[in-house]
Parts: sequence; C-alpha cells; structure tokens
Amino acid sequence: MGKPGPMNRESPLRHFGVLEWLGILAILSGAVGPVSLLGLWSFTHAWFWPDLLPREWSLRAWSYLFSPDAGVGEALATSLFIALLVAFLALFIAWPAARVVAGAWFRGKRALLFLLLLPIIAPPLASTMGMHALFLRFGLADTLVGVVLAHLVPSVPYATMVLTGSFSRFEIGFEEQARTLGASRLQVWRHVTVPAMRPGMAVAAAFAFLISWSQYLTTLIIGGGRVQTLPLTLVAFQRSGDEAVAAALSLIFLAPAVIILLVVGRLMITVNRKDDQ
Amino acid sequence: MMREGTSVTIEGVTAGYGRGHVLESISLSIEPGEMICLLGPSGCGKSTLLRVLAGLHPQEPGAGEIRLSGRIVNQLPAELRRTAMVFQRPQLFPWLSVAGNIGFGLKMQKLPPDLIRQKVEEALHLVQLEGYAARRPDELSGGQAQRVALARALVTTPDLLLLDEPFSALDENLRGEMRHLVRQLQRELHLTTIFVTHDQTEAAILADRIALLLDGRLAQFDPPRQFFTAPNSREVARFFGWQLLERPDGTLALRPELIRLRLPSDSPDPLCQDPLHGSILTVTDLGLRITSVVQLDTGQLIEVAEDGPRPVSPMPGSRVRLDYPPQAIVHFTEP
Repeated sequence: MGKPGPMNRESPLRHFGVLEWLGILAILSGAVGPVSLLGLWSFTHAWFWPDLLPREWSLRAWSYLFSPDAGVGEALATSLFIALLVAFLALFIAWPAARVVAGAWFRGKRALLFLLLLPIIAPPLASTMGMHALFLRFGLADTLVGVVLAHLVPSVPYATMVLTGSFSRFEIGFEEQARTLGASRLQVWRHVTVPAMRPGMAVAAAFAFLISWSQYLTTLIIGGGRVQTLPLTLVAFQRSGDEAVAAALSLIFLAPAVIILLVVGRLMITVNRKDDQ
Repeated sequence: MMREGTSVTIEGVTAGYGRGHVLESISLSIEPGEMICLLGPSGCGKSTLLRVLAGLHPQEPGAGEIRLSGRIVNQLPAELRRTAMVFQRPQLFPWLSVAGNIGFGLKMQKLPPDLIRQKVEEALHLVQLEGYAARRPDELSGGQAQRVALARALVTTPDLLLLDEPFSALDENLRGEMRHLVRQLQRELHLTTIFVTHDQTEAAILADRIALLLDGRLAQFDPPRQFFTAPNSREVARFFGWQLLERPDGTLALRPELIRLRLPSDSPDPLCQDPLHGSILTVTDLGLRITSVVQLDTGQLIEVAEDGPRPVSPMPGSRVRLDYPPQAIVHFTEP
C-alpha cells in the first residue's frame, strides 16, 4: 500500500524563480564561503596576498592540533561536557516555565515573560560582571560549576521560548485522554507528554548546547582561565598569529554544531515509531 | 464478550468552575448496560458532569457520591476509575500507529505484547477497520479516526463508557452510521454508556433514557418518548419544541406536529374543546413537512408543523382555526 509521505511529494524547488535562486546563492556563499576558506587555510604553510591560492600546502596545522602539546583534546572534552550539561539542565529548568507560559492567561504573565527574557536583553558583559562578583562570594568563580551556571543564563530563555511554542501547540486533551485510558501520571508523562514534545525538546536542547558551545566572554570571566574551553583555545591561537592552526581549530569547533543540527533536523521530521508494537 | 454490565449511581453531585456552581446536586441512577444521553443546551453542565464522572473535573468536596456497581469512585484518580472516554475530537496520538493508539491502554496495564496485538485485532474488527493497524493517524478520514478512538476506549473494557459529543464534527450521513455502530456495540457488549449531546434528535435515536440538564440541574430523566408526550416543566417542553402559550390560568404547551390548520368555515373537531384562532404569518413548505407561523388573535405567535404534501398550501394572511386533540396539550399551572 502506497503511503503518502514527504518523500513522494513534488519538490518545491520546481517553483523557484530567479529571486529564490539568488537568495539560496546568497545563503550558501555566506555559510559555505568562509568555511571553505578555513578549509584551504588549514592546509597551508603560508598564504600571502596577492596569491589567489596558497603556494605551499602542509599538514602542519592539523598534526600540531592533534598532538598532546596543543591541549585541544582537553578543551574539546571540557566544552562538550559543559555544553551537554547546560543543554540538559536548560531543558529541565525551561520545562515548567514554558508549560506555565503556554497555559492560560493569568495576572502577571507579561511581567513573568519579561523576567524570563531579561537575560537575553541585558548586555552579556554587564550581567557577567555582576555574576562574577556574586560567584566570588560563593566560591563559584574559576570553577566548572560556575561556568555551567553562567552559560545557563543565556541558554534558559531560548530553551523556554522554544518549549513554549511546543507546549502551546500541545493538546492538553492528549493527557486527559491517556488518563481515562488508565495511564498514571508518570505514564502520561513518559508515554504522552514527552513523545508529543520530543521535537521541541530536541530544538531547545540544541539551542542551549550551541549557546553554551560558543560562549567566550562568559567563560573567560567566570572561569578565570582555569576552565579552558574550545573558544578560549581558539582565540589564543588566533592571537598568536598562527592562522593555519586557528583555521584548523575553527573547523574542529564547527563540527559538533553541524552534527547537532543534522541530528535535530532528523528528530524534527521523523515521527518516532519506536513506541509502536 | 457479554458481560454483566455496571450500574451507575450518582447522588447529589455538585461541581463548579471558579466560584459559581455548574452542577447543582445531580442525582441519577443508571441500570447495567443502559445507554443514557445527557442532553442540554451548551453551557448547561453536561460536559462538566461527564468530566466529573471520568475524574477529570473535581466535584465539590463532600458533596455527593458516584458509585459504579457499588464501588465508590469519587476519590479515585481518573486512571483508576475504569471510565474510558471518547472526546469530540478523536485525539489520536500522532506519534503512534492505529495499532499503537488502540493498544495504548493495554500497554499502560503492561499486558504482554502478543495479547495486546490480539486484542487490538479484535477491536479493529469491532469498529470495522480490519487492515488499518499499520496506518498513521493522519492517513485516516474523520470518521475512521473517531472509530479508532472508540476502539481505543472499548479495548480497555471499561465499566462505564463516556462519549462527549463524539460525532458532532462529522457530516450528517456519517453521523448516522456512527450512531448505529455505537448503539450496536454498546448493546452487544452490554456496556453502560453515557453519551453527551446537544442534539435532541440524536438523543432520542440513541438513548434508552434521556437525562435533560438545564442550568446545571437535572430537569427530567425519562425514556425519549416521555419528552414528546409528557414534559414535566415549561423549560423541558420549550427545549423539546413544544409551543408555549401563556394564559391567565397557567401555561399551555402544544405539540406543533399535532395541531391541525383549518379554515374558519370547516366543521369543528368534536375532540377539540377550545380551538385557537388567528392568521397565518409565514409558511415554509418543504414538501413532506409544512411549517407555518400563526399569529393568534391574542397577539402570540405559534408554530404549526403539518405533514405534506397538501393540495393547497395555506397562504400568509389567511384566517385559520387551530384544532388539536387532547394529547397535543400539556397544561402547566404551577408558577
């Protein structure tokens, strides 16, 4: 039996005119251009104006980055650990807030929304300085925990916004329906709420991950140089003037983001069929 | 699959939204295997009563009791009441197949997968959807989706089946089919069922007894025919289309289908003691049914529904006499 699926549908590309193709070209050149330049650069020994292409090719930058001296592996692990933890915690914190915001109107809802989004509106430098002063008193400055907390500040509002969107499309009726069919509150959560929210959760977690992943200033100030993440290492190489190494490291820095986006993209479009018998 | 069936006793159940009461001390006693229609205009509290029974809406603490075959369920959470509910929208879980949806309740009971598969097949057979197990909810028509929702409720073998206007989103032909299916399954399974509707025709077709709710109170609880022959109050009569005439000695309710339009010169009906007089205002001739609005000499308007076709339709403006047999009237004298 033929099933109508997204695969069989007519491709929207057929209806694209000149403007649409120009738009795509602009997006591609914006996204792919700098990255391919980085790719070239990472394999050069030296590349000077006005040469169109580098004169000498070399694996020096890559072999250096993979050597223990560079400390890249450690920074990568730290960055990954922090970003994954932030993604998980941000989901956890944003969940109840999003549920309330997506629900019925109540007195003070506007104020609550404003408060929730305040960390995005406030300039990061100002809030980070404040946080640093606070964290010093609690012994959180220069610690991994402190950095995770600091990364949560800009991540939670985004996660909340994404989950709010999902919750407002979520049918409360699903939960009531499940309960009349004999599902306990825990079962409702596990078998109804989470599957229904899965795409939103994936996007929210990805946002939080990527926000944490690209933090520089916050990590520098709160971590005080003790918590060495990938952006910090990257900037250090950039400052040292070794552009080939900086280019190669930029590519490494980019990789998890691309992987995350691909995974989330898949999660968003494929309906999960695992729960079927 | 014949079962004993569950009796339902509702005693003095009161419930509210915010401050006001939506349900005022409702008492109903339902026989095992009976089909009850909860009927009433929107906002009368019928859906709230259904949700109270399902455990989805809190009842006033301490007020009233709900018993299913003697088992007191007031304090039980929804999932332990064994009262499966089908809502107005099918609410199939979009991340599950048809089989996954129907098997949902059984999976929650942690039955072995083989048994679930077998019961799902049986349920699909009951609602005449064999071969649809692997479909996704978005591949079903509205009627099919609602049948899956029905199967999903039936497969849990509830003590009480609750249906909240389940067919109101379907078109008329399909609605008739679904009514027939529900009635047949409910009889076969001897399943005590409460069906909420605002449509008196639907209620009259489906119900063993109709519970008419008006303003959060139980106005009348009787077999359907009683509402057309013996309404117990003006409000019930008005809801069921009786024509009400205020008189010095009370209210006269007339059944519009039993009134006969006559010319003033026609010979008087010996059965009719007190014919009414007036002139025709408007006529709607639908061939098999001719509805006329007559302005009585007292100024009141009254609707008359006659069987057609008639050789000559009454014309607006013509003088008429309204004859009616004794069974066409009910007299309410209580204020």
